[in-house]
Amino acid sequence: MPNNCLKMKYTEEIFNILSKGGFISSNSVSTQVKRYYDVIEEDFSDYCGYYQGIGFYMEAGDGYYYFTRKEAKVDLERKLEAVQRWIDYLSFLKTYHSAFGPGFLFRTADIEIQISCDMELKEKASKLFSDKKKHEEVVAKLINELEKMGFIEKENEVDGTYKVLTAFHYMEELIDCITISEEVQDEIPE
Amino acid sequence: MSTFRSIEELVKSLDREKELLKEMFAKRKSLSLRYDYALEMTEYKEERIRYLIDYGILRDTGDFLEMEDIYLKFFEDVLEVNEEINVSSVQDYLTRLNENIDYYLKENNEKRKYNYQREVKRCLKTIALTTVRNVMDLKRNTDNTYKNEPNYQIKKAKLVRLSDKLRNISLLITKSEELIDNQQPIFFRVAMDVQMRNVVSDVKLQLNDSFHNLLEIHRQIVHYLNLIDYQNRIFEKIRKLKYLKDQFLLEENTNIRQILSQRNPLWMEPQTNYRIKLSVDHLRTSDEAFQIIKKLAARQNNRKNGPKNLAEAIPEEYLDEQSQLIDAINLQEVYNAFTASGMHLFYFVINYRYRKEVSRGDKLIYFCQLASQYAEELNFTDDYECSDEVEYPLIYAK
Repeated sequence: MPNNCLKMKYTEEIFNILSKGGFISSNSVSTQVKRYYDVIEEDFSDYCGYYQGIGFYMEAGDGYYYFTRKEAKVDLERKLEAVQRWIDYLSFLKTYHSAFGPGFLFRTADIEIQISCDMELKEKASKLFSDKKKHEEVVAKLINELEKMGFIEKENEVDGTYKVLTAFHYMEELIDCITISEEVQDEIPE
Repeated sequence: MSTFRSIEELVKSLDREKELLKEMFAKRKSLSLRYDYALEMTEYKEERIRYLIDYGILRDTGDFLEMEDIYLKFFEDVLEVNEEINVSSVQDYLTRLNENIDYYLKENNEKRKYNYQREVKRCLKTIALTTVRNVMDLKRNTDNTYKNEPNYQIKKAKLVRLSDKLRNISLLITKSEELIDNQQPIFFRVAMDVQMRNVVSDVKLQLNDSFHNLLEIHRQIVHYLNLIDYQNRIFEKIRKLKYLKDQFLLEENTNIRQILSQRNPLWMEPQTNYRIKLSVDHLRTSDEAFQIIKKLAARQNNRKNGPKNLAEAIPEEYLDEQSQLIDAINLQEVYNAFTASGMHLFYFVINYRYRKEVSRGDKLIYFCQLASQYAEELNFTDDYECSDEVEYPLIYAK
């Protein structure tokens, strides 16, 4: 174990990102984060063991890493609330563009324009946040949420292009895990 | 309609209208070019446009002009930007190849035989070239379709169609290889001079290369189709979940509770701030910390109004040295002497030799003080005695 500790790099930086509920993505814009991803990929089991010692369980997804715990620290209601919020966000984003996912590039202005010419999107935008009604504010808050989670990063400062990171897979996969019971499948309108 | 009489004439007319043709070619995918705009580009000489239409380079559709397909195709082919993948031409060349080989074998005249042989080489080269071009077009079209086609259903249909084309190309490659290797053994043995050998080996190499490329493209198409399916599945799932959520049926009709109770990712927890105290040792010893403290202190002083509730300065006279001597008996000393004496406390206190004159009243106070201060270590008996109107218990050291 002491040898492994010497070999592991960036443990503090990685901890700082993951312990705040963030993700480390393989297609991050930041070369530093990419480096973190590579070192974890190289010695995944070492990092797992290292953080496990302080109660954080590192998990790997399709191009991303994140922390989980063994015991629940928050009650189920809170978790439900969090996921339901993300169902709203994802519903909005996928309505904006069905290919919205890792590797997708967009600008906030693109979404704002789309809102103003798509009725469905407009309706969804107005319901997204109870305290935000203006389209720019809604988009800004949504972008902020996505950025905070580590799902998107600004790729181009000049024209404000964002890039969707591989961590976005996490949300898609979580959603994909939920099974809808057979009886209601048919009741949902097309 | 007129036709060009020589290549020179054709090239010259194309050169003269290169601006217009360039513009039309660039806009070939969007709407056709407006007649007025074309006129502007030919320096408002209508006869020049008439000439182009007359010679079948342009087509007049009312207010618009379009480039004739034959020229459009020529430009696209030469510039390698064609989108249509044409597998039938390869099939044609294969037929022609077979025909020419047939003629070659039947012909007795050496000169004409040679011509047929040359034709065979040309066909072989064309087959290889067309196949390579087709493969390249296929690759480009596949990427373009996946990345640029906004409509999901069309995108999927296009990719499936490209996949069919891919199968056709690979079929033709196999056919061509089969023809060279097995179907015409006599010709390829008889007519195999150095040049023919080079051509055949080049063609085989190119076909082989193309085939390998096709495998990669096929993998890519399958990957794209899977991606589309995945995206579509997620899209559908979210749409359904959103519907259930909006109807307040989400928890009833899905296993979301079960899924979430199995998972404890950190992002669902409220943000925790780790309150870590300053290291006192570090503050004491580190230069850096000292600098920071100095900075902080300076900032503290710089505050505009200064700290609130500031007391007035202490008057000077308060700070003058004033000493006061209080002569007191050290009770600890008295007690120590008492423990060593073995007498009872009252008798000892009254008869103790103090360093100064002590009144009887003070001695009584000392007695009481000693008895209460050292009560733990004293042995209070139940016997009482009297002395000058004072009743006292007999107290001994333990």
